[in-house]
Amino acid sequence: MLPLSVSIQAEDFDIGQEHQALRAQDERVGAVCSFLGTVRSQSDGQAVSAMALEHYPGMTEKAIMAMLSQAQDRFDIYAARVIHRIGDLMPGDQIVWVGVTSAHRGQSFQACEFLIDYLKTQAPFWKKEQTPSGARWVDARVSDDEALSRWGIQVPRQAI
Amino acid sequence: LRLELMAISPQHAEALAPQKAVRAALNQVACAEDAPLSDGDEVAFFPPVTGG
Repeated sequence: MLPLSVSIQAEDFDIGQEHQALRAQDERVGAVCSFLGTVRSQSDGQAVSAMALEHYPGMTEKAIMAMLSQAQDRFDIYAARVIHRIGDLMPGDQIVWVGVTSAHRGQSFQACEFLIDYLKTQAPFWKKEQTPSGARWVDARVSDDEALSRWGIQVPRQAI
Repeated sequence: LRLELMAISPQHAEALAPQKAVRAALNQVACAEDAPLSDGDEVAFFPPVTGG
């Protein structure tokens, strides 16, 4: 497997297999750190019965590969992988997985958090939730921008 | 370009209104709204992203 990779897919994924693959044949690895994001059944006080995820094909893969390269430049890591699902999802479903390997835990913990913070605000995905009062597009969160700014990255502001 | 697109229809004008948070991308890379364009460039405007 390439040291940096991204998959955008409708299909579910197996975390165990991903963990194994990420560190396979690399005995330098002493730490694997990963993050899994899942669909919640509640959002902003409303029940969520389903969620649809759309993205901007082409840009999504490019943007995430750029994030992975940045993570490799910033942290002492060996391999990193992002999987993000698209299409129709249900509460409890896996949405996103970020996995990173390194020699010691510190670097992979940091790189993993950096990658999910970055992805939350810069990868072109959009969520639409089904609620009892109808479907609604999820609003971007200011707290996500703040999470990214901790890494010294400022979110581009409006030109107008 | 954003202003020209807004002139196409009321729906375009609403989606791209100045008070709306709109992100821009040039050739599938995030860019500022005043990025210079060339022939054949792919331009996208979209709302703040909500993945992850």
